[in-house]
Amino acid sequence: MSAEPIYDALAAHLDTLGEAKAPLFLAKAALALAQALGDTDMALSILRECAKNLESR
Amino acid sequence: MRPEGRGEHDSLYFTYPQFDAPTEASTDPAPVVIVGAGPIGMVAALELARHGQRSVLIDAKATFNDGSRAICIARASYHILDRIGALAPFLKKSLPWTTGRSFYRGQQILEFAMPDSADDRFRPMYNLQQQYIEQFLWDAVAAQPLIETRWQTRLEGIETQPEGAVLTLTDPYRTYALSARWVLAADGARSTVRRLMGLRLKGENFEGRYVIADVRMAHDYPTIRRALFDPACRPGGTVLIHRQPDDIWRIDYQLTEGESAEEATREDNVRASVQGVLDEIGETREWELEWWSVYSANTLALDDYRAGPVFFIGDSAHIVPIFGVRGLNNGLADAQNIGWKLALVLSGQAGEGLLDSYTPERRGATLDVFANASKSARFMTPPSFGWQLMRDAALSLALRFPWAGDLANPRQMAPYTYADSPLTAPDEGQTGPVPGAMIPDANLGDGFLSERMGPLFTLIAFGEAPKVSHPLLTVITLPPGAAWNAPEGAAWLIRPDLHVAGRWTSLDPAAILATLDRILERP
Ligand SMILES: Cc1cc2nc3c(=O)[nH]c(=O)nc-3n(C[C@H](O)[C@H](O)[C@H](O)COP(=O)(O)OP(=O)(O)OC[C@H]3O[C@@H](n4cnc5c(N)ncnc54)[C@H](O)[C@@H]3O)c2cc1C
Repeated sequence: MSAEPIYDALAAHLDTLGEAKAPLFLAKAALALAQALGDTDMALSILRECAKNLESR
Repeated sequence: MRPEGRGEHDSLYFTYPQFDAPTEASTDPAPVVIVGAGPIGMVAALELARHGQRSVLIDAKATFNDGSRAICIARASYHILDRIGALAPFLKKSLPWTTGRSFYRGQQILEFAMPDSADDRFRPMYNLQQQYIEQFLWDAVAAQPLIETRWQTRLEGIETQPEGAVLTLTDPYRTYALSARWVLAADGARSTVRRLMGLRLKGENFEGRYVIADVRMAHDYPTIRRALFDPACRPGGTVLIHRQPDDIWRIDYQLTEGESAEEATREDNVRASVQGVLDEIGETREWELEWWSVYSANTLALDDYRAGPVFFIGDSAHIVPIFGVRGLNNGLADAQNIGWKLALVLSGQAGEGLLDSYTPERRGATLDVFANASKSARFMTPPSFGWQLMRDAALSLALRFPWAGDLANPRQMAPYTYADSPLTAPDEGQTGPVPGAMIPDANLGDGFLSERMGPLFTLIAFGEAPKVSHPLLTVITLPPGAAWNAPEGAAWLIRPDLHVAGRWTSLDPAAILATLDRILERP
């Protein structure tokens, strides 16, 4: 599976929704995708990875 | 609070009795003095009396608590009411329910049903105004010669020693000292006993504050709890709606962060808020305002529920958020727990060490309530950015995905299992309720298991009748499989509060008697 269609779709949704709605949209997306993944440990570990390397420069 | 022009006890549908102060007040030492004749104090007195023990019950007021307050009584509490012989009027008046519905921005996202089956004698929950709860308990107390009630009698001082307490009591006619071997502090959230003894409730304060308002309105909506998240009438807030007997609806709505309780509880503001909620759910009927108050979602408890000869029961020991409806129910279990233990100690049938199990069992139950209630509170009144965002995400998802609606399920009430209690025997069974758990009821065809239980301890044996006898023990023999899928030979020893003391796969009379002795012979 290529990440590109998801990458493109997220960008398009975020542009349409704007910054104010972005957090809620991303929170919904994360929860729904994790549910579809069906593997709690895997989802938690991905979340931990995503929390890294967020420092702004 | 009541509408302008009506007194504190001026209800649209309930007549508050007026109790006189005692004309004479004996100063003979009492085995037990119970401070506070709220629901918890009265249940403690009735449990003691059930086992033949006398008590003096005092209350500063001349009538019941005002307002409907705690309205949800759980199944486990109906078993307590049954055991103390007060059940009948409750069953007759209260409204049973099993179902809850949650709505997000006007759309239903979840309908849940609490566990219920043909094996259950009682429904998971019953709605009844607290003044009726107090009235029905009072009727039982008044009929019980072992309980001496002194209304308009305020506790103003307490001196304690390991072997008893001396209380300073004041009524309209006199101030006097009364000695008590044991004291049960059932004097509520602002407990005088707690303050005089220099004890403090500890824990977290949640930000959530609710206005709870009762209105009278003829209606036919079934008894289903409704929760409205982010409704148009209170953007960002949460509203709960409950049906009560006598055409009374309870409407609880959350105050927003900036809203002052003082402003929110002004009559015109309450009326406008109630109207907003009724508009939102499409109610167009006329309504009358009955009573309102403010309640905040706290999780606070004493570190130790015992201080020498004093035991704290009910709100004096713990304050819990409203969402789990555990305030009253948790307190009723406290009252029953200390009641049977104290009765056995007073009658000389058990050692005082039995009382040491009160705090771990009942404080354990409170901490369990806190864990669950904090979860509900985080959903109902999210405390921070993260919880708020995820709660909103879950609600928004729930409009399209049922699994997300499940995150809004309040999961009310399962009685606490005393797994770590010093009274709980090691597990030697396989099926059915585990040691420490409250037993589920069972339909035996000609009645329910709970109706067959003895007054104190009960041995339930499946298969052959066992050769066990003990003065405090009632033995019930059932066919294998008659309850809990129990196989031939399995046996349970049940405590007076219907919690399991021990279970075995094969019945060994010596092991059962040893377990009973371990409970009773605690020095
Ligand atoms: C305004 C309000 C709203 C509530 N709403 C809800 C709700 O919606 N849901 C819920 O689950 N719970 C609610 N509760 C809590 C619920 O009412 C209690 O959990 C319940 O009453 C059990 O309390 P209790 O018997 O321990 O104490 P209380 O009912 O408070 O009784 C204590 C008794 O002690 C007496 N007393 C106090 N001090 C003294 C003294 N010095 N001497 C003699 N007597 C004394 C008082 O007069 C009172 O009768 C509410 C409480 C209040 C105050």
